[in-house]
Amino acid sequence: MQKKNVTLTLDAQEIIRMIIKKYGEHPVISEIGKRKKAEYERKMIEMGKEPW
Amino acid sequence: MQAEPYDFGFDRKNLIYTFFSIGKRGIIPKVVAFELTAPNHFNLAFGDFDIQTQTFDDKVVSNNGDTVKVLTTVIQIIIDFFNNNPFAVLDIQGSTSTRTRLYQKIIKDNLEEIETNFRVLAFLEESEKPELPNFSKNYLSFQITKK
Repeated sequence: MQKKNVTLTLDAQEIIRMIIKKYGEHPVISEIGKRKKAEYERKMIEMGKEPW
Repeated sequence: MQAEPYDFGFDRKNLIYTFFSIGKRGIIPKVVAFELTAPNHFNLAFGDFDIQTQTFDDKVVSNNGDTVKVLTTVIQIIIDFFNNNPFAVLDIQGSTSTRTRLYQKIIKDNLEEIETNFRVLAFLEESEKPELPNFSKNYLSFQITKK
């Protein structure tokens, strides 16, 4: 990756740290993602299996 | 797509990517997140990140005058994600019908190049089986895997 602007690159990492702090290392932040994850977990539970 | 992508940063798991849209409305932080929704199965989340409130918005229309550059960056990020997660299954669905149509147009216009390295399937409905894309139809979502 080319780094043309060090300040912007540092800020990008700061945003990533914010997201990880708020949502964890496997963030699910969109409504579609949340719905799909919940749907998978529901199906697994219905089948009597552990989702993860 | 003919534009130089923005530089982007990413986390150590290659699941969260960020870059900055720079245009007529200023500098707007963008986030691309690969959301784990089932084992080895990811959903693409793409939108703006508000640093003040630390919230993600995938419905906002930035109107920053750099759409092609932003989308070129997202494509580069998807390629980088697959380079690090070659067995992943990636779902791409717009947060709005307008965005889904935009994604379909990008895939349609670049299908030959995309299919050099990736397989593309399309869903008309979430519960239906995917099919090879036929762009006379309006799809709900797309599924991408690396060849």
